Amino acid sequence: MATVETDTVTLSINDREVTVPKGMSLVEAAAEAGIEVPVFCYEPRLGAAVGACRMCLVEIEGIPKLQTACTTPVTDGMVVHSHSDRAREGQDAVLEFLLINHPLDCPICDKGGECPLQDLTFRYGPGSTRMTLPKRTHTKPVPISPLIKLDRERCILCYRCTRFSEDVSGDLQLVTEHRGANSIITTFEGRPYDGEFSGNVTELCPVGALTSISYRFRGRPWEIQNIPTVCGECPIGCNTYATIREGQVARVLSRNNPAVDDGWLCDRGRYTFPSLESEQRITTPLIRGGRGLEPVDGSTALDHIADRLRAAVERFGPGSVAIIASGDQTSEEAHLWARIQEQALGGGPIVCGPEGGAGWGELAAHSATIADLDDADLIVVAGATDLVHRAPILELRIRRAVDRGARVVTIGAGATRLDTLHAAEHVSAAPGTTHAALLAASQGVALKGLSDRSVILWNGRMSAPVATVLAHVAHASGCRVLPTPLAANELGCQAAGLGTHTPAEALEAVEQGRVKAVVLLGADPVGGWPGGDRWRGLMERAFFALQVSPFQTGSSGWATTIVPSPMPLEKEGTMTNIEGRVQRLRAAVPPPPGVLDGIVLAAELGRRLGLDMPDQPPAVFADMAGSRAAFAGLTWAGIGERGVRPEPASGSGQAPPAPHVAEGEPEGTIVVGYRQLMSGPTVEGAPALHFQRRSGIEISHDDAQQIGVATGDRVEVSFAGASLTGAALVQRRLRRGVVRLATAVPYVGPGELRAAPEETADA
Amino acid sequence: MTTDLRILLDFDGDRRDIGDYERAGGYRQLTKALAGAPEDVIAAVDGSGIRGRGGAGFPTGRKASFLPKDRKPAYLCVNADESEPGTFKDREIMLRNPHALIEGVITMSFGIGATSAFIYIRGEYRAEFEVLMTALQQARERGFVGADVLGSGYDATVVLHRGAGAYICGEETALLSSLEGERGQPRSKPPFPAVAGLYAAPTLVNNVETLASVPYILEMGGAAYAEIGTERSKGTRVFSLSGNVKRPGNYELPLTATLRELIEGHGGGMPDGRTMKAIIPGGSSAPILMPDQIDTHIDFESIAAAGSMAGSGAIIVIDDRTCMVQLALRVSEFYKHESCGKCTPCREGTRWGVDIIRRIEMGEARQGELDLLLNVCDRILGNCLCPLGDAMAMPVASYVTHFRDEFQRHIDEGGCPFTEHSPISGLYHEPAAVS
Repeated sequence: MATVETDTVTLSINDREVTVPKGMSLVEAAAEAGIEVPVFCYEPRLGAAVGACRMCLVEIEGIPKLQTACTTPVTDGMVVHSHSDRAREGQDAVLEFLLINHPLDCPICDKGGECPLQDLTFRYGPGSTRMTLPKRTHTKPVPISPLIKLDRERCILCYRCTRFSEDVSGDLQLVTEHRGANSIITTFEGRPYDGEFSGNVTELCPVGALTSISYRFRGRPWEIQNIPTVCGECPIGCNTYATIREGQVARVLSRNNPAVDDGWLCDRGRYTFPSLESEQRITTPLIRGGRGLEPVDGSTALDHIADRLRAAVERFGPGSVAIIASGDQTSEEAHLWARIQEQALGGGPIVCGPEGGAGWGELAAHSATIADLDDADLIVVAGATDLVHRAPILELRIRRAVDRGARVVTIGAGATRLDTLHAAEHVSAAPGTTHAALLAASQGVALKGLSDRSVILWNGRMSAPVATVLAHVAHASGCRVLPTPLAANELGCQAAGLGTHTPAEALEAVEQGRVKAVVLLGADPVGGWPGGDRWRGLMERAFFALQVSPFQTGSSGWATTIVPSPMPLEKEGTMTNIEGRVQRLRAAVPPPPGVLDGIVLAAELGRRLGLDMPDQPPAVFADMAGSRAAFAGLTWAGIGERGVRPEPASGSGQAPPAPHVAEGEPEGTIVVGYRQLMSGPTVEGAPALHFQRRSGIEISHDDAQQIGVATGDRVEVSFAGASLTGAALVQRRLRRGVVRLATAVPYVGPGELRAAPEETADA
Repeated sequence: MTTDLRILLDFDGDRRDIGDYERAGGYRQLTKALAGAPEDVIAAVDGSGIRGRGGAGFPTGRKASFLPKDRKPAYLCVNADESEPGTFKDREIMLRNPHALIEGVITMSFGIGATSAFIYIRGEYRAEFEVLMTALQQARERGFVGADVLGSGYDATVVLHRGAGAYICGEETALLSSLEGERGQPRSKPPFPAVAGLYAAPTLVNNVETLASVPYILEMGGAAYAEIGTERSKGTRVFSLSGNVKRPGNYELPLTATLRELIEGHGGGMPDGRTMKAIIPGGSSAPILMPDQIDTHIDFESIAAAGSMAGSGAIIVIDDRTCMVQLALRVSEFYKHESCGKCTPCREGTRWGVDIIRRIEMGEARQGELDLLLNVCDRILGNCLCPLGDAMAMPVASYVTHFRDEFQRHIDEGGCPFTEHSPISGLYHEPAAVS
């Protein structure tokens, strides 16, 4: 929407005239005029400027004192000098003061060479020292968590990190202790900084005070390369740089895309790269023979797979091969595998992800963008668990929207972090009936005001009934919908044809005997999908069971052939994120020797099955754009650095069918097992992250009273034929009857809760 | 010109008991104000020309007029965090005339449309806190504070909040942060508290003495109050006289008096035939005046014209035994210790400055460091987030400027020529560094 800018002011900065919107700060206005005003504490993503570091002192005619450009709003006719002798004197003074205590250990500092303090000292600071006093010393470095170390001597007390913790992530864990020259940054009560977004402070730090332990002493800026790519850990697709040193990924940084991530990353995205070198990775194709899995070379494996697949189709007929994908594939890989299934194997079922979401098409016309959250007046978050587990970085955007005045209504089981946001409203809903509660709320007072400036975030599994409700509500109110697929490229895979059946439909086909061979693409249905036993049954009976995966998983034991696959940081291709934005992955490093590129693997297999398929990413993309409607009109070159979001299909404009939701609420205990953010094979391969895992079995206050347990007491939960014992975590705000816990296999359904006997030493 | 006109403390003993205060005419102005329009209160205060008695001397009526009329809630905050070294006037007002403060608070709250007032009292003022608590309780019982004050329909809540021992919380935005439960650190202005103060609501922050004067202003009428004092400094002011004088204490004087009338007349001059070396005219953050400036008037403009500031009204007399380097060390150490650490020049500059002064006193400084000290002061001055850094830089620079030879002798002779003869010798200390 184009707005006509009428509220502008014109001012002069360093004799350059510039016209900018009213209310803008001098720092921003100077940037508009192409003038750099040096800053340390100023960072607009942290909220209003605070004017703490005083680095941005400038001279304004008519004001006797120098003023901080970050906190000074522009006014009409203002005459500003940022390079005058007086301004330079002020800037020089601030830098000299900052350097009084700075150790100047730049030669061994990880920040050296990419350090704002170095750069600004070079440009604005004193050329020599007049230091007459000993520098302040501290014990250093101090680990503030298994991920981050703090060097308090390097710290210039700009308070960016504490502002992040307080105002952006809201975890309130980084604090300042003492005062004046004795001020130090520390964690609350000295506990480890345990928050899903903690790593951002290492990037915010303008000196080498907060550093990622995984990058300490690993590289110098002149011997690294930053490869622009996209995080493949979840469907937000935060834009990243992978820093490469000597052929290895040394760190992951944010590559600020305001439309997607706003320059923030979650710790899973930032710190799982060590899993690239995990011992658990498969690095050679394996074929099960008389003595178990035996390594073979790639070509042998491909010949074998082609032969088995061809044999399956010949023996059991077309459509007898099922593809079970994780949804983490690039769209190009997905497209080629879908072509193999469609054109060479006779079109058997394809499942995409354990939720195998259905109903995306119904929602396309109502699709919201991530940036829509910024302008939303009402944000509805519907789901039974914390949003952070499915769409981590969105939490920060919602927090900011609330700071700007947006209303938040959560619908679900309660006791989520968003419930505690300032002025958040909550509608309690039994897990499994959240969509029904949403529908009711949209027709009642709870969601009064739902309009075209509102966004509904569906924080849960997508299914046909849910999609129907969402489409109905969106159509009636004009609001937009942002669903949260589980897998990183679930939307792209589906759009590329990899995803024709829900898991339930596929299992039905299996059990009707229509499926005789199975290809697991990254998926681990035996170990991590609902209905694991039934999947195992399929694999046990399968004529041929191929697993394509970077890691050995719970399904590997039943695979007859295993082919290693690359991980997202090793891939060229595209992924489609939560809002439908197609983004480029760039291979930061090559896959380990013995691991075939995912596209080459599919193309080579296709060739052996008689298909003529391209094996270069741009060509595959073109092939895909030519045959898949969702990619029509897109070009490889047109994706660019920021991705491209094709205009969603506008829909018919017709009212969607009225949803029919089951009346009544489930009886008894409902267990919500969710896949937590810090889980999965990549997290397994990054041990430093494990301290962030959430443990404990969340139970409501009422239930705790009823069975007579308190937080920390052992409770036993049985569900889906299994039982699990752990420490209770009593949540006052959790809905009665709901038991919530992190599980490997997502589950929402009936269960039982009871107090467990204390473990005894000799038990 | 008479120098014995007193308004706030025009009685012997105290009026802690509400009966004493009421018998002296107390709470009548509140009663009258509640019967009229809130704007009348502000108009009278504005007409009196009274300027803030905390230190900055901003016209109180104008400050109140900055509050947007249409935004509610609005708050009144009372700055009772009197901490400037040498200043002890507010404590006397609170101890002897607490109901004048309470009446002023309720009246002013009514004037600005606030239904909640917060008195932020210095944590060390335990006795004053107790007195105010008792006085507030009496006022509540008599219906001057609480819901539906005197049946007027106006509700007034007063919260008495004790500080936790930070000088910086006397800075109005730091006071607000501290009240909110945040770290007591100043905020960048704008926005000013009048627009976004306590809990981001329009807030008026006034000093104890200012608010305690309000009932008297209403009693006399703004115009009559404005008769007292000079062209731009109206009314009387309570001055805290200390240092080497015969009769230190609080003296309420009209703003037409001179330093000589205060120091020699009320204070009895210097004891034991000592000669005066310097005068600190407005709290320890004020640059010094020299003995030949003793005839300076004590109004805001005259002291400013003499090269200093009227500040908090604390006048400290320095005699000839005093080592100015030791004085600089004590003053600068105070500000270093109280620096909140938020902004760079104050946090680092006060530390650097103290270190240079200490080495000058110890005889460890090198030639040239006096200019370095002046330059460090100059680089703090005007570059900080709040006035605390200036509060160290201004006096220290003035000591060096007026007594450069004395500072230089320390360097030349490798030590302090005054040593233990100075009355403040050895009183400074280095607070243990926190590791």
